[in-house]
Amino acid sequence: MTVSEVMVTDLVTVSPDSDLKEAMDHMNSAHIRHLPVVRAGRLVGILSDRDIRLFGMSVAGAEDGDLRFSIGNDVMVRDVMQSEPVLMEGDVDVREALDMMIEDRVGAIPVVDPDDHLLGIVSYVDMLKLLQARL
Amino acid sequence: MEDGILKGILTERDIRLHTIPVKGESGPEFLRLEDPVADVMTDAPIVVSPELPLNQLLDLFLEDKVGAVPVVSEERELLGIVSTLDLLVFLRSTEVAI
Repeated sequence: MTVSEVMVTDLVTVSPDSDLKEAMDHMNSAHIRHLPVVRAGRLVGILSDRDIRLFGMSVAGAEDGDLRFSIGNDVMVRDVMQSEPVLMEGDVDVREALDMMIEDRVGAIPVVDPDDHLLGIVSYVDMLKLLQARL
Repeated sequence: MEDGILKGILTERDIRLHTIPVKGESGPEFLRLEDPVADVMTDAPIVVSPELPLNQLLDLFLEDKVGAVPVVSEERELLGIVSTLDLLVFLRSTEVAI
């Protein structure tokens, strides 16, 4: 089975030039932890819950211990996203994606064509559904 | 934990909700670095028994969108924690065709 058979293609994406709070609104309302970052249809990064937390923590000391202001209005998605995420093409075997999730501790992997156009995203949720269907 | 008994769980989501204002929401009190964990943790977390069947655990992960759940005894003694990563490792180790 290939990742293109299990990936989700109905995606919420964000531009690298969006402000971070707007991206977080998308994540909260769609209940997702990973947001592909796309410019002109091409994947340029991925933004995860974890990236936001690490970013927030990295600037926390600058605000006298008050974490409320740790992410200002001028912070853009491009400042926080992973710009070289783990990614794969659609013909990769699902087991390889599973290995990457376990070894690289990533919860979601964008699926792209050879020109980096975003085709879908495969996540640990898709893997759990595979397991569920086989129990 | 207090005397081996589970009191709560601290998640990334807890930290995010207490550090970053969300548009249109007043949100909870914001966190300061010196604040105790008890102020931020989820204090009535979903817990499971070690006897819970795997398919029910999967339902929990998929429907409640939790990434990990504490495993406790009937006396609420903490026995372990089971996460989505543990299930991915289980899936990889099985002979199930995928």
